[in-house]
Amino acid sequence: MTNLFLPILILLLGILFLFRGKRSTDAFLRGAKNGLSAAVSLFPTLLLFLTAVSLFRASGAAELITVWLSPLCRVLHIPSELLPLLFTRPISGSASTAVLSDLFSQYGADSRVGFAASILAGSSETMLYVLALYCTGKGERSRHMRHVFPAAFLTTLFVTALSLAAANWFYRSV
Amino acid sequence: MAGTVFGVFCAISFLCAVYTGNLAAYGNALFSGASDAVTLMLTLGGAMCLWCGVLEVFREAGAMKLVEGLLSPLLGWLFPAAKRANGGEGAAMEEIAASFAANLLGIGNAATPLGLAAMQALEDAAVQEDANTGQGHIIQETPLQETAQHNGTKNIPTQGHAVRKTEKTAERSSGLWSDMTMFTVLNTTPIALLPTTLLSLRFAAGSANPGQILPAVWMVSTAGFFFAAIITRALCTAKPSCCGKKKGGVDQNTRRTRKRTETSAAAEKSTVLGGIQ
Repeated sequence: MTNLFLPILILLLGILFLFRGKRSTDAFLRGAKNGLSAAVSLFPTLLLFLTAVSLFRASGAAELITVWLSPLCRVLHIPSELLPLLFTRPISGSASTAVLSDLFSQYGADSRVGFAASILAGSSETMLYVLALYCTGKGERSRHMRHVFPAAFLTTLFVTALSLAAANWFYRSV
Repeated sequence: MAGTVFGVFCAISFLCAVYTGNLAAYGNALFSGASDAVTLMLTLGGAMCLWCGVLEVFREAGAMKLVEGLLSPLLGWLFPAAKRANGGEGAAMEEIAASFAANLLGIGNAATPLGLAAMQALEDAAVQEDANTGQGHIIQETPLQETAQHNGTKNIPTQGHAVRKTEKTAERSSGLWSDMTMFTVLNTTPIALLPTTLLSLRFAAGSANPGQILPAVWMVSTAGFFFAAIITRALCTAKPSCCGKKKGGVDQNTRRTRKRTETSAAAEKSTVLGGIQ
């Protein structure tokens, strides 16, 4: 299904270019130029942020926190196998994809852990990455948006809790 | 915000690196992170140029008005200030609609560049609005109007009194900043109609029915989306001053401005305004 959207979009774009010629070309070039300057202004923050993530991963912090938190997980009835996913999901898309496929190959995609991991990964985003991208720009954006972090953090907690609950309920009903 | 996150990450990772003892790898991570950023920048930069161009072509042809019309009840509720901006004409609504549409259709690669374009458009409108209201306010209510007009720039905070006034107007005109907060938070929990990566991963792992989890994902992500909307609205209404007394807010900025001499402050302000307009 989703494989159809982009080809249709390209077709529409082609039609526009054919029938509106120069006006479309001008519009495209104008937009692309704006996009480039926006991308360039993003780079310093991206650098800072990705360096922090890379340091975090290399230090083994995620594994340590997983070990420390597993007793808490037992109390809260969270499968502790999910902890690596819980930590990588908000930080990095590629890392959490790797963790997810690792979980699938270890426990199976249709197991209880697999269900919970699927729902969790499917309904959450790389929160910190989005924040880093969206809260920086040319102007003084970040100081006007100080509610962003608490709101996003609470939402992530909510989505995580809800995913785990939904996975429990869903796995029993299937 | 970026600074806080970086600081926390550095502190935690340093302690953990010392604890686990792999300090060499930790040091090297500094460089691999930097080169990751270049790679990401190049891929994202290409996508951003492409999608901003495509968006512009569709906008020029009037197609974006259609998408905006379809999503307008939801967008009007989520972004009241953006809808009211520009004398009821709306600011950045087309960009917002485009990025939401891309998220809904599962084209994540397009959603981020479009979302960034929307943020830029919202910020431009917000800066414009702050400048407009700030100007009207300060000329009416402070004895500094002559200086302000004389220099040909707006809101030059020369004394404590004038600074206070500027602060107040900034708080009042922050509706668009709240909308930007809302947009960002919503982008951390988009409604996932077709999580393509997840489905292909499940398929690759030999799931009997990869799409089985979809109803649960829809429910959870929709609930998350509305939870995010409500909590952001609540936070922004409870403390509407998006630049209040917290660190990094206007206060710090004011203090910094006060320390500077009058002329340097005025000169910088005018360059800032010049850069924006």
